[in-house]
Amino acid sequence: MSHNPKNPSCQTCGMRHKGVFSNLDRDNLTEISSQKSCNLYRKGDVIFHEGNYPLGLFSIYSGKVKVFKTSETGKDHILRLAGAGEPLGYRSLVSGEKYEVSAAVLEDTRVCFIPKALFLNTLQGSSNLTGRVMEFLTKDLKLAESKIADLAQKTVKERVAETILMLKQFYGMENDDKTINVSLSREDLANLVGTATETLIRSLSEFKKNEIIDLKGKKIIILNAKILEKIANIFD
Amino acid sequence: MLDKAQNIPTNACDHCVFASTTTESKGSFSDSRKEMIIRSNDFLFKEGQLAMGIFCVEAGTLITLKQAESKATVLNVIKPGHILGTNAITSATYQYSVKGLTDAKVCFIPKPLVIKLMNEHLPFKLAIMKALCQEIEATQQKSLSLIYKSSKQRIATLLLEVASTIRSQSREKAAIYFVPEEFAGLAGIAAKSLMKILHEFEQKQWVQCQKNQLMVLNANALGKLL
Repeated sequence: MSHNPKNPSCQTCGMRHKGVFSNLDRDNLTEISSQKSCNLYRKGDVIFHEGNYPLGLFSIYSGKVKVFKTSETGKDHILRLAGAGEPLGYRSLVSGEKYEVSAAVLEDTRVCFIPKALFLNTLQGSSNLTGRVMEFLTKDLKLAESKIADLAQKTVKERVAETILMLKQFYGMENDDKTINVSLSREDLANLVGTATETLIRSLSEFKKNEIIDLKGKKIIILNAKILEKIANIFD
Repeated sequence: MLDKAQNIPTNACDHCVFASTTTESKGSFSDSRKEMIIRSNDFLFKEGQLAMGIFCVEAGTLITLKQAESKATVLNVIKPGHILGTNAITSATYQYSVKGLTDAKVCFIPKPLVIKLMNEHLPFKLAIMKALCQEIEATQQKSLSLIYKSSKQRIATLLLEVASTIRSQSREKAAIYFVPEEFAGLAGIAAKSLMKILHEFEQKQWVQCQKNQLMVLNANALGKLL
């Protein structure tokens, strides 16, 4: 069963150490493993929509997901990118409110689903899980706060450079050790930086002109990571 | 305003997250919590300071700041009922500074007590988690408004937000203690543009500025901007 690609078991899940269930005791884990389901989402599929009530916890088994919020004017803003092992929508589940964000798949992704009742029951019974959820919450809060500081203080150029470095860290490099292993549309990239698509493209071409990066279709090739880091102004 | 705040009976904690703790533990809780008054423009705690516990806001308005290089960015406006310094539970230092925007009354709960309560009472732990969720939500909302809203809209939102907390406590139109740099930080714009926009609002007689006092005269007109 552990090798069943359709519904991988939690006990042998290699991604578990990254998620909320990392230090759950065996009994709880067995229960979750038996009740959860795993689905394949194709590129572009939406896992959940903003404004709906959560029915359970989503946890990414493999692939990449974007978590975004739609503004009143209908523009999307990407709050974060999530990779294998990360839980999705656990905040709404804990607070018992509607989803504040939507999640959509960036590439073919396997997502496990744990029913709400089971998750909440486990949460009430296991201090390991609550501790872990707490860790995730404080981490999220820290991220959200530094995002505000970034938006208020950094120029678009700095933010673009930072985003490229973030993508590099998050997705890793292809075999040539230069190309970032991701293909995001320019619009997605702009939404991630928090700027207009036009402004993003302008910054990208400026970087390209200065031979800091190279662009091949949707792929970004980092030519000079040091200068990029300098532009991004990263201190921490 | 502060006088009113001081008159709140000590069971004000019924409204906050600690309400979910049992009466028995509330005893130990009331003993070790401590009420403090923060004057406007005073720091409650600073970023990087060793975290001794968490704070519960009982009255008044505070702001959270994050220091980067020489500039401080204001993260959020904190109203009564909010908890401050929740990250103290998991980390050793505070990750932002807190400053009083108006005079405020806060209640300090030492960290060991919070942790003890959290381990003993699951509902309390869940309540803390819920509070954290709301804090994250508010922070994300703020970063979105920085991206999508015009500076005018942001100022209007801010004025209404601060005015509403003051008015709910004292009925009549109250003056907001006004520091240009702070408000500019709150709205995420330069102090100069803030003054320009405020001047415009003043000409339309929506607000009234006097030295460091600011009054909202026409909240409806401001609300329409949003």
